[in-house]
Amino acid sequence: MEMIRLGPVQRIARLLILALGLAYTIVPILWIVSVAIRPPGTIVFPLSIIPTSFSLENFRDVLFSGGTGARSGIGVGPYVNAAVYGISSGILTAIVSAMGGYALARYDVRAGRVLLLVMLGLNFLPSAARLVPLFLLFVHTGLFNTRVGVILAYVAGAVPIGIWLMAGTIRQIPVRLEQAARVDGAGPFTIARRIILPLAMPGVLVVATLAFVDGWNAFSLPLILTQSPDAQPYTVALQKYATGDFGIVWTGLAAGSVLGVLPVLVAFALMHRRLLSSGGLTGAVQG
Amino acid sequence: MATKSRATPWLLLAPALILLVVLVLVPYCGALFYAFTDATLTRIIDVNLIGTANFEQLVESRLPPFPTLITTTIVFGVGTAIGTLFLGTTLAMILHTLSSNWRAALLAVLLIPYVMAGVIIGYTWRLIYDPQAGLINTVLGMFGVGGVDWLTERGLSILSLVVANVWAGSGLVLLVISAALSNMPRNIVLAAQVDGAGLGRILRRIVIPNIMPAFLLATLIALIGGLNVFDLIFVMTHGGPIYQTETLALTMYRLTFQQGEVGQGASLTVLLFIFSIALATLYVMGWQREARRWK
Repeated sequence: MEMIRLGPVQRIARLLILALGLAYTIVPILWIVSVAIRPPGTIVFPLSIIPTSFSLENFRDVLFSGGTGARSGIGVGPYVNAAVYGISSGILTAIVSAMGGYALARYDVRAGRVLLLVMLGLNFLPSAARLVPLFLLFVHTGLFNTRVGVILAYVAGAVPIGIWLMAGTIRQIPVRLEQAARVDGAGPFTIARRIILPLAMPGVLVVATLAFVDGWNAFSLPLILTQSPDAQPYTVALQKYATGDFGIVWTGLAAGSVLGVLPVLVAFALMHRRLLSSGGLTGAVQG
Repeated sequence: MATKSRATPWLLLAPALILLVVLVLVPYCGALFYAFTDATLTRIIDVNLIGTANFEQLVESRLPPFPTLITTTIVFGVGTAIGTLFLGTTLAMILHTLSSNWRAALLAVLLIPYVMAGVIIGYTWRLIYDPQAGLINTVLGMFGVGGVDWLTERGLSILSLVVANVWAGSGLVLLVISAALSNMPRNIVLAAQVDGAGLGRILRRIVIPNIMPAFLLATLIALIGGLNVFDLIFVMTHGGPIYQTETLALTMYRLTFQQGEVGQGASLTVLLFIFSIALATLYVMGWQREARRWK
């Protein structure tokens, strides 16, 4: 569409709308970052729009400050938990999805088409409707308040989209490569390791990244599936600054939030070309 | 491809299927069962079947009245859908009039909210609306305008939440519509221009019909998404004050985990499920009609 010729008025309108859209997107982020980097002592209302001084004290407080005061932190633990959950979920989802996707792409499974549609349909299931049922199941099975339980819940949520994406990726790898390898005497594991995996790697990385981000970002599932602070990710632990004894502690909340966004932004920056070209970000919706 | 063993694909699929059956299918069936029982948080084993009493209690509840919950949910869901569809589609169209370098750079920035956690988005916007620390009231104060209670004022609070959720959800619409625009045959647009068609006519006759299926899909995603938003509302208002911003997803949490009425929470889960499936069915029907029309 870039070939469409625009008149001068249309060009100005385009610029204006773009500027508004960008401002709407960026200003809230700039504001929370600006609060996060102010020295705690300078939080006096009304705040200055532009911070007058800069410090990383709030970040240090969130991660390392002990005690019970307003500025006491949530510690490194909740971030480590989120990382453990996200990374485990990413790896497991990638493995399970690659296996399932390969089966649906390569074998003439009679129920294969139906299964793929079921996977697509599962993405449309109401995510909030999973909370109560999963909670009940976990209480019954003893998975409640366990790390394994949280990770399994994440993986089950991410696998449908993962299988859908992996089936699409593997279908694009020519079958002849596998057949040639087999003629040369390669067994199934050699074929998987030497041919399928390297060629499917971009898809595997997309699936793993999506599952990692989902797990790192998750709030409602760990909120209801965990109870002890030891098992809680930062998303749940940050509530301390919002509903604790000191009212809202904006410095801690802002710094803690910024810390929570950074890993996702790094993952997105590293992967965004692949995510976009694979359709991974929109999930199966283009399928 | 010829298969040597019929069991191999099922072995490969087994981990995924076991996970989905145990952690998706079984819980949903369990919720369906609990919806008809008198289970509470302290008693989820030895329960009695009580027919449709949970659903009746839900519909007849006074605090808050059930119609209010439905209205709030619809305002939030439809408001979010309209906002994200308008913003996402407009931005996608504009990006497609730019060179691909500019498009990629702007897209990366516009997608940042989409990858952020719902909780963080909630805190970010709470910090925009806060009466004291909020950016809006701080700016208003500089012009001598008194502060507004964006998140507590009746009628205003739900709209404030919609604006925050539109911020969170526009990226997905932008992606879906962008993909549809990229797949649009360029030659048609070129031919129309050669024939002297203006921007309005090109949009109406070529662009809009071409992105219609994607637009319908984005509508469905936005509506189901709006119905299920939990994190954002939970950290911004917790459904309050006085249930003003409580959508069905929040009610479900309150009934189950704060009031301990597991049976009622489960019956609300069933309702959410039915609404989502109804929306998905509408989408499939609409999509088929569109497909016939443009074939």
